[in-house]
Amino acid sequence: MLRPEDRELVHQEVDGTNTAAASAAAHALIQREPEAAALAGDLRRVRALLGQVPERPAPPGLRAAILAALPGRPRASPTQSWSPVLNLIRWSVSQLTLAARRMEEVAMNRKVVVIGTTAVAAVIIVAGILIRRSPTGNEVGTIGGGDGITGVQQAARYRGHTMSERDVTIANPDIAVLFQNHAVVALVKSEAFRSAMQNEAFRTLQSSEAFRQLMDNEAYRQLMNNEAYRQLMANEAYRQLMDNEAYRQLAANEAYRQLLSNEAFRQLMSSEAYHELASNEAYRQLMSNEAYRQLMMSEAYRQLASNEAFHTLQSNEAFRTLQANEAFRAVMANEAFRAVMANEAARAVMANEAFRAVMANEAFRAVMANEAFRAVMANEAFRAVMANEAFRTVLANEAFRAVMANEAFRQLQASEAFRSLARSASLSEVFLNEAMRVQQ
Amino acid sequence: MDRYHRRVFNVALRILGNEQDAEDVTQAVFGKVFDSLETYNPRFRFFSWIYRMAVNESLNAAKRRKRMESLDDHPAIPDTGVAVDDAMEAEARVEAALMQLKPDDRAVVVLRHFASFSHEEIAEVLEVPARTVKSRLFTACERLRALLLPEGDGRC
Repeated sequence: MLRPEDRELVHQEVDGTNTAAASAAAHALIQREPEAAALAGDLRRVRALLGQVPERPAPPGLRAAILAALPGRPRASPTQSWSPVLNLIRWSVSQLTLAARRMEEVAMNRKVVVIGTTAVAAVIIVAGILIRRSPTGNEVGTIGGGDGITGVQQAARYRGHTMSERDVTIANPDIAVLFQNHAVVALVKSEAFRSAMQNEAFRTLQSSEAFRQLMDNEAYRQLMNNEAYRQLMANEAYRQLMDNEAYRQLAANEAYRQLLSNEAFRQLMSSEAYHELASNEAYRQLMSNEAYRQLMMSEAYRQLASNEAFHTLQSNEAFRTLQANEAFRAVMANEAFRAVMANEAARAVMANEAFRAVMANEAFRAVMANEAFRAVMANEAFRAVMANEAFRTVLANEAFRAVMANEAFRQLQASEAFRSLARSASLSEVFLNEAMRVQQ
Repeated sequence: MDRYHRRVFNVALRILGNEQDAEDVTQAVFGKVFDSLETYNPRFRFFSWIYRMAVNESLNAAKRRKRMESLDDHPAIPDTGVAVDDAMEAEARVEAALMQLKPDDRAVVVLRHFASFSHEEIAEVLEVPARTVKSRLFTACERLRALLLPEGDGRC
């Protein structure tokens, strides 16, 4: 009878959340105890069943129904009495911001930019002062809670985002620190940075919530500092892959991420034989072979001798070569791999030319074996950014790639000051404005 | 909204097991998001904020529905006795099994397996300690194992 802590160890192993030491202990336990092995097998089958449940598309009318319901709803802000003033200020700020950007893009005339930026800053400061005069908290009540419970409830104290002078001037210590760094100044003065900043897609990306979350993510920063990842970013095939809808679906697939964290799969990915096979026409045919896929999905896969599909495959030369590969055999016995193979997106990706080109790429293999990359792949913000049209456009931009590969930019990204910028849209905007000023 | 409405719908669907209820919940969530945008605290990540609303709305809807129906109304788990190789059948079995979990345990399973959140992210969404997430996940997986894998089908 397994002890509760042993059961928990097996659960965490299957869930992929054990540390390296705990994982080794779990493996030893599974080898030693038939009950633990049975439990692990069962849990993997449960996961595989859960993995077979597809994400449903939203019903066709849902989006329209949500939108139709929104405009008629009164916004439950306790600052409603301030709304006309705030709306006017917000409108003015947005108009001036747009005008300043337009001026930057079209004229790039220093004088005009300085005047425009100053005007924006002045309006923001005034707005900040006004917005900070929020209600004191006790004077506002609402009938009916947001959760549909009836009765009189005190409204939550308003905590609107307040901008201050600190946010919008170079006097901000975070920004000042950055611009005292020669590498950062050199970076923002560089042609590549200037081009990247002028890129509409980059600015759209910068203003996206997912991108800011990603920039604030520890695993992503580790990844950015990873040499292999930087090489990969500069790789044309990788960009094609990123642009591939099937790959993005695959990246969002739980089974694929489990597979990525599987040691045997990583060994297979880094094996020379596998690369040869990946670029081998016969292997690609094999991967698109229905009998092969059925075989991989089959519970009876381990009992190959009696399997009809297996006999068909035995006559395939590429399959016989693969069978001689130790890592391949380990992967074939892996539940996560079979779950991935049962996934339509995975199969589409396997048949994708860009994916095969990337598979043959040394940097990609190094990244696949990288812990930070796997952590990033499991990150919601990263997946959102991957699915973001602006991000893909930016990836295809030569200047953006040059900036990403720039040592100073990576230092900048790793700095505490830059992280604080990344968390705030207003500070990001100020940083970019200051960068533009330095460039003049 | 485009980024989240499908995800919110799927979370609600897996917690409630009913497409119409999931649609209602999704609409309610976005209504609340719209109403509460000005009180959104940017210190918290947006996704955890919106998923928290989605889970809470779904659990509230489940409670309301439970008052109106008995547990016996839940569909029985189709037991074919053989490996499931049909996606629709798998979905029906998983859905029926999920409905037999406690709502809090179900929410953890949904966030882990269908939204692919880490334990820490689930803890953030549900505003509970990470060890509570682990404990609920453990309980839920043991229960799912018993519900989804028939005796004699490899079980000890």
